[in-house]
Amino acid sequence: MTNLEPDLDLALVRRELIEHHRHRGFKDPQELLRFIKVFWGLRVPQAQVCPEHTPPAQYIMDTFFEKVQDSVCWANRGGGKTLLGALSTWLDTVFKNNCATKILGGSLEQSKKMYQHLTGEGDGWGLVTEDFRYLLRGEMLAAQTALINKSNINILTASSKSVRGPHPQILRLDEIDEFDDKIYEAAMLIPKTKHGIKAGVQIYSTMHKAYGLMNRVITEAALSGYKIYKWCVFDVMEKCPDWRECEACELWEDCQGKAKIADGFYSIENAISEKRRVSRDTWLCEMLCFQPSQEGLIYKEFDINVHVVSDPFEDEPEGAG
Amino acid sequence: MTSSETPQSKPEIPPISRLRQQRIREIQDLFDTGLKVSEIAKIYGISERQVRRDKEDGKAFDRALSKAVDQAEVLGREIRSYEQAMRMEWRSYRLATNPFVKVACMRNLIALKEKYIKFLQGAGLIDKVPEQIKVTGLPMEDDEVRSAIYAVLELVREKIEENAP
Repeated sequence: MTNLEPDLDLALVRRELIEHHRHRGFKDPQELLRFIKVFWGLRVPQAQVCPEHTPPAQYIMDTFFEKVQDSVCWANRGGGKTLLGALSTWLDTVFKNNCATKILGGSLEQSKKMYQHLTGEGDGWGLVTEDFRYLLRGEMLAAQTALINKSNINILTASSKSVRGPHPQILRLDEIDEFDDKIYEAAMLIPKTKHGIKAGVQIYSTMHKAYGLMNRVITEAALSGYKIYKWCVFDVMEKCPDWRECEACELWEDCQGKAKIADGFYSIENAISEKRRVSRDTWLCEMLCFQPSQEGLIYKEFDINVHVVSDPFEDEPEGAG
Repeated sequence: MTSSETPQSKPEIPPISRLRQQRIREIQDLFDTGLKVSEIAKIYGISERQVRRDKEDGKAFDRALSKAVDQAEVLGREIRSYEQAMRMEWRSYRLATNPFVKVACMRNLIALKEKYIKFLQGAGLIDKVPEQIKVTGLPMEDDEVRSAIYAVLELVREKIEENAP
C-alpha cells in the first residue's frame, strides 16, 4: 500500500489563521505579538530596558486592544515609529471591520515612507504580503487602500486640504514637528467614533525643536488626555552579547549595562558610530529622547516661565500715568 | 451501471438524401463564414425558407451524430490499440539481441504503461490513487492546535532567515 504524504500547504494554513483571527480576534496580547513575528518576521521589543520608558510592544498591544484612544509615541531616530505606525494601521484595518484610518505625514517623504512600509517598495518593510492580498478591494494606492471588510487607509501629506473631507475613526500623525500649528489644530477635528470603533489620534515623532509642536503636545499631554509612549535607542537595541565588555564600551556612559537585557533590533555598532558622529546635545535629544537641544539658539538659557512677564501696563486705564 | 453497459440508442438522423446532406453541410459552412440567408439562397437558387429549413436539419443532423458515438466502442478501441502497442514492444524486447535496443524497448514499455494507466484513470475506468492528503480545515479555535501551528510557522521562518544570503 502506498504511503500517503500529508501535504501541509503553509500558505493555506496562514490564510486559515488570518481568517480565524479576523472572526475570533486574538486570545491575548501575546498571541498578537506572535502573529506579528510569524507573518512579518518583526520582533517588536518587549523588554523593559529603561525604567522610565515604555517598550514599543506595549504601544502595539494598547492601541490594538483599544486600551488608549489618544497617544503620542516619542522615540529616537530609527526607533521604528513609522514602521510601528504602519503596523498598527494594518492590524486595525485587517482585523477590525469598517475601520477607517487617515495618516498625515509631516512631509511628502514621511507619507511615502509610511506607504512604503505597507507595500514593501523602497526601504519599506512590506506589511501587505501575499498572505493578505486576497483582502484587498481594488488596487492598493496611497490615497486609498480599501479592504473587503470595508476598512480603508488614506495616506496623505499634511495640508489644509488633506485635513478636510471624511471623518475616519483613527487619525495618525507622523513627525508632527514638521506640521504647521493651524493644520494640526484642524486635524484634531478629523476622527469620529463610528461602527463601534472609538475615535483616536495617534502621534509619532521625535522632538527635535526646542519650542516645536511636539514639545507643546508633550507638555500638554496630561491635560489633553494623551498617553505618552516613550522609548530611546536602548529600548529598541539588540541584545548586547556577553563577549562585549561594558568597561570598554563607548555607550557605557548612557547604557550602564541596560543593553544586556534588551531584545530589540537596533544595531549596537550603528549606535556607537552614530554617537561618535554627533554632538552630545544631538545624541541626547535625538537618540535618548531628552528635551530638545538648545544648540543654535541665540538665548540658550531662555525660559518662558522666567523671562516672560505679563505687560504691567496692560490693565492700566487709558491716559493713566 | 457504467457507460459501457449503457444501451446505445440508434442515431435519429432525419431521412435526408445524400445530395441534400451534402448541401446542408455546405450551407452550415457558409453560415460559419458569415453569409446571410438571402446570399446563400442566391448561391443555390433556392428560397430563403429552404435555407432556414436546411440550417435546422443540419442542427438535427449534428445532434444525431453526437448520439451515435458509442463511448464503450471508442474506449474499447483505444484499449485495444494500447495493448497491441505494448505487445509489440514486448515482442521487440524479446527479439532484440543488442542490449541498448533492449533498454530502449523497456523504456518505451514503461512510458506506454504510464500513458495507458493515465488514460484509464481519465476515462474513469480505474480509480486514481491519491498520493497526498491536503491538510485543510484545521481546528483553529483550539488553543493548543493554534499554538502548535504558530510553532511550526515560527520554525519555518527561522529556517528561511537562517538560509537567507
